[in-house]
Amino acid sequence: MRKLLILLPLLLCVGLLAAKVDLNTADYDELRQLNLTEKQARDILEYRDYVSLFTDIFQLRQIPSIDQRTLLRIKDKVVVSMHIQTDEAQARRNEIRYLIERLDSNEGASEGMADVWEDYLMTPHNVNRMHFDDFVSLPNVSAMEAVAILKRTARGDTIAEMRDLRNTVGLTHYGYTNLRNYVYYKEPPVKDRLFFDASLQYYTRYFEEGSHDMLHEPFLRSSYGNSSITVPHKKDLSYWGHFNLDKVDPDIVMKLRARWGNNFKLGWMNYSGKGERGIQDKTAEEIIKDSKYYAGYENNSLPFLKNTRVKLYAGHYRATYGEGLVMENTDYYSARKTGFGFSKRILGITPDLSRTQEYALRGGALEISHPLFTASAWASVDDKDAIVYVDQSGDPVQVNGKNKIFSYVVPTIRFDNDDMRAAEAKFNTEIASGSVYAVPYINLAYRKDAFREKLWGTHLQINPWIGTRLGFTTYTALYDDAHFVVPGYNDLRSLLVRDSYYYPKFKMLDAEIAGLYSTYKPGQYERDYRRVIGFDGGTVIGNTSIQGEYAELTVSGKDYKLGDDPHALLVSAHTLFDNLYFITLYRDYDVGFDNPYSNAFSEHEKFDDTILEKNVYTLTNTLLSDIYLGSTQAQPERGVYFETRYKFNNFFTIGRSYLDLFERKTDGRKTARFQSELEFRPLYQLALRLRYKNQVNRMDDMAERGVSKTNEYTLVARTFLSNRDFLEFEYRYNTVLSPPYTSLTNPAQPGNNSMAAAMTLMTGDYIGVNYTHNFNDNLKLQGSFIYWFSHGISHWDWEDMEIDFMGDKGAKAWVALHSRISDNMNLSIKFRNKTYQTKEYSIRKYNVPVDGESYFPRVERKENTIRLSLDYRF
Amino acid sequence: MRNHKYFKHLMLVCLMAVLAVQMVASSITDDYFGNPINGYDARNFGMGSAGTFNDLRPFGIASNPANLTLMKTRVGVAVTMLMDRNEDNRHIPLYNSFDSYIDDAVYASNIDIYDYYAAAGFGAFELGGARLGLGGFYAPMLSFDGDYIEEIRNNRNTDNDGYPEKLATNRIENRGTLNQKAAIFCFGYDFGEVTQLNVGFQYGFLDGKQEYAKTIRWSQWAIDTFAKATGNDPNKVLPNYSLTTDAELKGEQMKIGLAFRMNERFGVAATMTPMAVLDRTGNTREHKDAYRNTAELDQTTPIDEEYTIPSAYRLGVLYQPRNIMRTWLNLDLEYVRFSDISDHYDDQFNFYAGVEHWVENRLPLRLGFSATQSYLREVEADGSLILKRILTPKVSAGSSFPITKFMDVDLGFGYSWREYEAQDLFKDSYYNDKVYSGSSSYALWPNSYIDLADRDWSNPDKIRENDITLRAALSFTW
Repeated sequence: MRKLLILLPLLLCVGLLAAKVDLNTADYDELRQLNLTEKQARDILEYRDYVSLFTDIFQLRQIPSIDQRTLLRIKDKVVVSMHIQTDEAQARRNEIRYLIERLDSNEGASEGMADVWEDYLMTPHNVNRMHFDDFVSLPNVSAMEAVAILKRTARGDTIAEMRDLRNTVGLTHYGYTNLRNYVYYKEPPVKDRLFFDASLQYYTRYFEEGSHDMLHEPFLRSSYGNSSITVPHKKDLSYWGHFNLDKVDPDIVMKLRARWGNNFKLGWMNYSGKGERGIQDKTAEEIIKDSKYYAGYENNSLPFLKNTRVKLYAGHYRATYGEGLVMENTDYYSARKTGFGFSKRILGITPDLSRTQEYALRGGALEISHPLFTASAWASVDDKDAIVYVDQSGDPVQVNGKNKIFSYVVPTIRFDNDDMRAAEAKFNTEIASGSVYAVPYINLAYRKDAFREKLWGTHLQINPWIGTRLGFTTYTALYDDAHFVVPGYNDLRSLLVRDSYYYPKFKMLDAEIAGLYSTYKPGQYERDYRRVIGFDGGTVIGNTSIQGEYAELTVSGKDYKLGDDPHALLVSAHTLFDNLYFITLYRDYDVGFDNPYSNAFSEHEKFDDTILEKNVYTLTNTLLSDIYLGSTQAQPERGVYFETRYKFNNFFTIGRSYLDLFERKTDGRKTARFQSELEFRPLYQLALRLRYKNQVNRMDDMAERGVSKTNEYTLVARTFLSNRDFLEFEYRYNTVLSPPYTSLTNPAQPGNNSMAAAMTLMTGDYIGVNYTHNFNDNLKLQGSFIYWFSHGISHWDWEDMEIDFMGDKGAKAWVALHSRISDNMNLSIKFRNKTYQTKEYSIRKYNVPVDGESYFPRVERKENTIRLSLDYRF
Repeated sequence: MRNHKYFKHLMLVCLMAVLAVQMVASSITDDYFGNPINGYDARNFGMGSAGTFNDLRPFGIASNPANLTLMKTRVGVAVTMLMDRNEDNRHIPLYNSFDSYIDDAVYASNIDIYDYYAAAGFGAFELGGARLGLGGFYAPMLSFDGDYIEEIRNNRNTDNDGYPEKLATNRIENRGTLNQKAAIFCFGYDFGEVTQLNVGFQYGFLDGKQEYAKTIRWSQWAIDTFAKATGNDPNKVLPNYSLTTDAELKGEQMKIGLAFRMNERFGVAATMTPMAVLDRTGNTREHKDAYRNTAELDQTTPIDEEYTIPSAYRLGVLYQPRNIMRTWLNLDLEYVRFSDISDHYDDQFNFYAGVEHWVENRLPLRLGFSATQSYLREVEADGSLILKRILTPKVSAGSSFPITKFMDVDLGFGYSWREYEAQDLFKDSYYNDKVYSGSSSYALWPNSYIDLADRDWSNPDKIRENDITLRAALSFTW
């Protein structure tokens, strides 16, 4: 690290200075000349090396061996030279460290976007040369604000500095404060140089409820109609038992990134999840196959073409366009992703080291962008995991010489194929040994890297005037070795459901599964590809931006004819005032629009509430539930979403509030969901928040048994203490009025379900306290305690880096320590304990009389999790 | 519900063991390999036991012999007390009325506390730019201690305040440690004011004992009830059972260490501990009372075998940045060659990380994390070996205060847990009294539907253990 020591010539004349000893540069012998003891001299040197350079003489008193008398004796003989940190990268990192911390803490949700934003923060773009898509890809910067700035620069005006940016007409306070850290004006804060980021995350976790239940569900012989058959009780007849998933098994993420300025970029990442083999147990070939990596070149000032830039990537990259209907490749779904505010998409091609595996793109990508146009093309070849048709031996079933595939899948665990087949063989033996099931073996199975996908796509966009753009996106995924085959609704249940006894569980909503795309439809068509085309566009009128995307999946219609195939449409408007915004959004997604690369706005993910979620035990293979659990697509919905936020004054704010009125297209269920928040801040240090949420399912048919009404009231008191310390109390009260699920309405004692009931009111509440204590700039302690009691209701709790699901009743506490070891290194350790009681019905026999005692009070539900993160950046 | 024995196990035994006079330890799981003991240096223990490079406390010489001259002190002495609280909860799989495996219920919960002491000392002198040091320590290396109590109760209904009778008490009492008495020779050379290289050699004598006892004792109620049901036939008795092992371990182990301080900021250290092969001698005695038409079993089997402690290679770094709180960051990575024992084992990595900050007024705050791998080893009836790898994460914290200029007290606290599957420790068929009576009906089990079949690996126990560990050390350096 280069350092420059500038002496204080204005304060001291050269002669005086020469006579004095500089505490920041003196060596041991010079210090001893001050009549300091050996220990005192050593302590001063150590303080300088390990604690801080001196900024003032009286800092000496922080050294225990220097007493007041010593200080008074030497204070006229010493001087402190001014120390200026000239390592500009380090200085920049100090400037933005709170923003980087915030991005790191949200990394779980943003899935890889944090890397891109961190690079932007470290090496900002010239605000005078940025394009529209650059602005709108930044967190909380709107299209209107992008237009306001672009109009200025188009007039030949140059934004010279931060205050100049603030004076841009049309740029709100929020937009300005979010934008200012991502841009520079004349000179970049950091010149081109090598940047290097390394991070290690080691954490243990427990499976979420859906995955936990799916993996526990056993494969058992049928005793139906034959009392002589005894069904064995064996734990290893479930995936959980077979794979010994009770053991503590860590997730490990290792990531290395290097770049030269914003031009040359390299990255590598390896992620091994719970239940999977760790990097130490893999061959080099397997490590490469399961790793993500990229090499890229970017140039923001191409010769000959003014303000034109190019991006070229080889390896893994992300491609995102429009509203995510045609292409936004991620394994992660998030509800109500509007694309505005902090719920952003980074448009275009970006390098990808996220944990996304299934929808990762691996190959090459090129993007050229000019203020008037953008063109990009990409190609990818990658092996994808899938649910495949298998025979009784576990071999893939073929159709027309290709493996028969049911669906893409993002699995809970990426099981090894040989291990999977061994488990299936055991389960098949068990299934076949009782009464005969309609499907007497596992017919659909998870296979890692089951087929090869060759994908190419392009995006062309013209920007006729500032803020207006028209785009065309298409991609084609080629399947040389696989046929996707999904039967129609009427034939689907006999494929998915093990026995005809359970066929009534198959319902109208399951038409969503029948809507999965097939490449092979006997009598209709046969092809080796999936093709999606779409148009997107938007414009800005005054303080309103209007944008939308239309996408169509080629099924039985013609490739480039619109309207003859399943399609998806999203149109939105965003109106922005200084203290107020409105978002209005309309979406309409067809049931047959099965585009695994779409990641658009919706209230629910695809397959929510279907048999894949609700009746896992009826499936021929419980792992089919992963099609739902890992779903990234929007559920086929049609509806209008409205969102606003209004700050009346410094005392009152209506926080993010929304109303969503939508219809689930498969069964016509209409739902209204409303949430609003009022914040009262009588003092700057104190904020009181009241939040209300209401959701009514089947709102159009109150006599229908499926109606449910949820009300949730939350009161939060937040105090902002000195030194950025923070204390928060939260209380939440819930009610759910719903149909009478027998497990909830009948008593815990065994016995017949003898009570008639119409509706059930469930209540639950939750109380929590969060505290953040900053010991100093380098050490922060966070802690939280929560107790909840929820009779059948669930709560979600956002922790510092992850979101946690809480059902029934229990208590949770976590503590996290964030230590900034040095300017370049951060260490976080988090420990969490969660103790809770599970639903009674899972530990008792219900509806039927049982012999003897059946209540188990000692079902221990205790989770200890640990997270260690170590980041090094230079 | 298949097996009603466990209904009664749910009246679980909460045993608060008094402070055992034996060594640290923890778990009945590790009765073959023992529980590795580390963190003799309480400062280092609070930092996740990441102390291959340790230039501050005398017990650093046990982690790496090269730390002796790295410390640049003339004399160092340390005494450490270790205390460990182990909680072991054993669960049986639960099945609902659809025969589905849904959860696990605790049927035995044991809490035991152990304590232990270790001591180290050394002396060093300078010869120009070089330093020579001699030291030694005495410390337990492995502990075989473990206690477990489980009650067998019958399946009498608990409705109307009825209480299931106790049929038998199963007990495991394991005692023993493998101790190390080690001598250390160390050489250090200063290349400059800060830069120095140290090389250390350790030779240790290992000796220890393993005393295992596994017993099943029928209750007086069971004996009386059974006698009454069988008409006091002297041949028809409920046999008590015991399996005891007394073994001695003897051998040597050496360790070579290196510690290199590069500059004010960085230090690197490494150790190599070759495999040690110990002689394990003693005998195992199995005893079961005579019953009905079966003679008394009293069989003693001599033990004379090799006991292998796998080789380990450990690399550690120290980073001391400039920080407004004075800061030490230690990271260690350890490679353990379990394959030295046999091909059944895979080599494993252990990871250790720790940080110390002087938060205010020289008050150190230490935090650490470690993740270590071990093996559960079970020998099947046919002699085949079942090995299950177990990960133990641990978080630790600590602090210290000076007593005099030369003397410090360090305190370290650790919390670790592990979850894994293991076979039922006491198989169910033993409590089938029809075997002992020859009758076609139970004398001790009111509900005749109970199926007292042994559970095997297809239906194992789920074990959740946690350890709360304390270390207190008094160290003197001059």
